[in-house]
Amino acid sequence: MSHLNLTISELHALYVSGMTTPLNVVNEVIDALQKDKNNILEATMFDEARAFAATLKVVEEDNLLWGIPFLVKDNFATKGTETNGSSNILNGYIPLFDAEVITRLKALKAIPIAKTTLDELGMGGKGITGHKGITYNPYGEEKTRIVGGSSSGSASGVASGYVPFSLGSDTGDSIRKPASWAGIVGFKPTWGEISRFGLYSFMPTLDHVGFFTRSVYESAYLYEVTKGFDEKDFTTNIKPSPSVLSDITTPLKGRKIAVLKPIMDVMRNQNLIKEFNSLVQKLKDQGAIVDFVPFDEAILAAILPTYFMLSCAETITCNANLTGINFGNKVEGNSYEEIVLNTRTAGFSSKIKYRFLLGNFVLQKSKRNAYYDRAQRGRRIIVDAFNALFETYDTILLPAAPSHAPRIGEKSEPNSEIENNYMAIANFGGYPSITLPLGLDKGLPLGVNLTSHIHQDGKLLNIAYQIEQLTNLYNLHVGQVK
Amino acid sequence: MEKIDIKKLAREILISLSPEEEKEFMEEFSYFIEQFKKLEALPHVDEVAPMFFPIKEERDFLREDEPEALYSTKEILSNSKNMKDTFIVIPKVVK
Repeated sequence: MSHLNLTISELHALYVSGMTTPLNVVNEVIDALQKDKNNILEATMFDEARAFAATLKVVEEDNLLWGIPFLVKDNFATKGTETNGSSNILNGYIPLFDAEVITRLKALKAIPIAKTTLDELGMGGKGITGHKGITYNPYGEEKTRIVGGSSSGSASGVASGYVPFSLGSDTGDSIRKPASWAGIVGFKPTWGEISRFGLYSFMPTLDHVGFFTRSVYESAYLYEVTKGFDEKDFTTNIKPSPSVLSDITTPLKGRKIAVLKPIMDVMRNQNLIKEFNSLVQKLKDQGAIVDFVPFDEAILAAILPTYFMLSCAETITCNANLTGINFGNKVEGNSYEEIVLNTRTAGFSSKIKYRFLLGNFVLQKSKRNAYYDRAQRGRRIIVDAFNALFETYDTILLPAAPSHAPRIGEKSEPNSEIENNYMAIANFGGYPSITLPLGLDKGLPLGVNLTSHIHQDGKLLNIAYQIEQLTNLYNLHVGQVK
Repeated sequence: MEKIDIKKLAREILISLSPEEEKEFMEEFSYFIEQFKKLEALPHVDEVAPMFFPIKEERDFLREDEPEALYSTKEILSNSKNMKDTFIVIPKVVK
């Protein structure tokens, strides 16, 4: 009996019935990971996972995560296991501690099994800039399509059915875009609800911890058991937030959903439009109110430049500690300045250097007002506009990407930049946001995204859960489609 | 088109670029300067206050200042390639 392609709940049921053990499952997952062809792995924790699984003898019936193996994006610190953020500058770096979210998952006896590839240091949206090269999408012909990024390996691994969930991080759409192209659920909660302690910073006020799963309920469950104040991350929310599980099955009747008309108007993929409109009709049939609303196109067009300017500027500071002196992949030099320069020059890829240069440019004294400060002002205009929308609507519903996963080197259609980058609004505002499967287009997944106001995680997950009931795409994985 | 001193920008953040990288960066730079113009087009963009953080709730707190031994010196230095005894060694600064 195979234990791959099962959800958390399905594996848990097998444990409770005594039909298998965590060690059996872990061994099978390791075997599958060793045969993976999509370049999803950084360091592995196979021995530790086997040893931990072997200690799990008495199933905890109330704990869905007992004995569940999971993958970890390699920008989360893992104690004793190399964590290089898919960057050569951190080759060989072994943290002394676990990221807080991993500590909480391990306390529930979930089993981290391997680290996964990402766009270098989380910067990138395609899963092609990590130091190990392209991470592939398991859908389509072998090694022909990107899976998206930056959480590329974590998305590919869950879509392949190796594990039922993985950890990702999201600064612009780094969980929610790959979730769309991999046909899985990708969720990031309200900013500050899950501790970022141990997550490598990209841009702190945009960075979020989140999950990939193959069911909405399981994303909600993972959020429920990992959220909450952490004194090691003083930006976590001190006030306990309400449970998101109790109301997840609430009927849709009366829920108010906004579709941004200017974004739908630029969509060109006919299957996507058809699937989306069909979903809208089903939502209306359930009693939801769905409005196609106008929205200022100048604000939508400002999302990408605002994101790029702010994130490039702030990431310079976040990565200033990568010098090769205290830790990291040092390159020799005749002075400490030369060591730092040589280490950083050899350690960062060209793409990272360009982001740093751009960031440094917009922070120059003579440029700061025209660029960086203006981008922060732009952020206010964007967030205010979406906050105003959330006064009327419970959520915004849109395709998570304008089409299925592009082939390597191919641009994502139709590429006006707006429809490919709008999901960064959820990072600007700290809003909870989730992508889930919408349908298939020539055998390739299409995703739909929902974004709600801060602290409306419960409402967001409720609507997403009901959409999953309507699409019937629970536990979608590549083995089911191919 | 903006003029930039690419070598100075790189030097300030302690990286250097190959000639190919300089060329490629200039191409990307032009693209983003074009993108940035979309911000100028935002109505009233220079009349609002910058938003450095979107959430209004108080998140400040003070913890007790209790000493805690988390890691040994050896552990802390274990990721440095410049360790000698309990020091990180770099080339002489004062020559």
